[in-house]
Amino acid sequence: LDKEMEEGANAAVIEARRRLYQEWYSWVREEKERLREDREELGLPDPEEELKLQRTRSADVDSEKVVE
Amino acid sequence: MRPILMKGHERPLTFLKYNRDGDLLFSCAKDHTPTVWYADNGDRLGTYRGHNGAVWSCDVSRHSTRLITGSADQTAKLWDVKTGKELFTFRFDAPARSVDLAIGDHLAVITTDSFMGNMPTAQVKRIAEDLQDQTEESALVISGITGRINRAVWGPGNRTIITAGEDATIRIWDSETGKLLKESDKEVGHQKAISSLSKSLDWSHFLTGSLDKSAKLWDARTLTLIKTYVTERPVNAVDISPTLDHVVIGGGQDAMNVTMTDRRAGKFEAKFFHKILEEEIGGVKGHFGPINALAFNPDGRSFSSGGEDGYVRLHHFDPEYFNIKM
Repeated sequence: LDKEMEEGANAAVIEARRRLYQEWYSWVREEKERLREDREELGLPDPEEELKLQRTRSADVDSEKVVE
Repeated sequence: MRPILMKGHERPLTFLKYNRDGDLLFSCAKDHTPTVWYADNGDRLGTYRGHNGAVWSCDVSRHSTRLITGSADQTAKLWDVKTGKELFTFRFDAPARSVDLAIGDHLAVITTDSFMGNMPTAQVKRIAEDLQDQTEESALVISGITGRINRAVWGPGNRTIITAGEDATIRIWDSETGKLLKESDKEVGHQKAISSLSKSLDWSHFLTGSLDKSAKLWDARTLTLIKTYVTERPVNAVDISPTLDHVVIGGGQDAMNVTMTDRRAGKFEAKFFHKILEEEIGGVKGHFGPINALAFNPDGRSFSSGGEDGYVRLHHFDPEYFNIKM
């Protein structure tokens, strides 16, 4: 019986978290789309894309280290 | 995660800001001298000398060429980041509290405190590319708020200005006309002064910290409350992780009302919460006084905290931090 209750409680937690994630990601997706349209209109760069590019660039620099 | 302890300030820290590349960290303190550090190893790179009062906040331009600072000496100053040279002074009739550069670095919003009968304001200044063209003139003055405006930042696309402060209310203003567009809901909003405000990287949401012992996450467009993070102490500082669904919150006592700091080690903790689940993930102890400033490195791999104890603590996250499963 304990085991059943525990599994039930776990399932409830997982379900609640799944709902929170779903809510969040659907909201973020909508907002990102809206912000992208705004940025394009204003000719502004995408801050997240820029950060990704920046990381790629710094990774490139790291791999160029010369070991003698 | 052995922290790097950065000793350079003689008075409590007030604000921390990384440049966009994440290689430099700028710190402001009550000791009049903003300082720049290498964000990786915590070495001090230089100081900006010229203010005659506590420095409350700063911002750095996109290409890390210019720094702007706001001070209790009733000025905001522009500096050359590299040389430390003072480039221009904006004079006010009250202490300058919060500074924030717009995307593009052509505009800055600066708040002034209520002082000697003057009401607090948020003022927009044009930042000229050529110093010869720089003027003190305000492009816009927002007023009519009672109580100090602790933070004013640019909203998405520079179209709005978001203010928050002592009256516990967040307001969104039209950055062209100065018209009030939205006010946060009194019922669900903060119940005490808002001390801090930090935007998400994509500007879709922002986080506020309050002396009501909570931090709240808001939709930057509609000003709808999305999340609340509850803690045991007044919140002085907040930031949003640029890479993970985490937020960091720090505080202690109200930075304005500290009479005695607790000397027991680790009493003051930077607390990490899961942004979406609102659950506490963990904490980082270390400061001997309340935490007044927090900032994630833009690469999300380290963060720094500034304390009432006068120290900046730089923490590089352990590999385990990136594997936290919720």
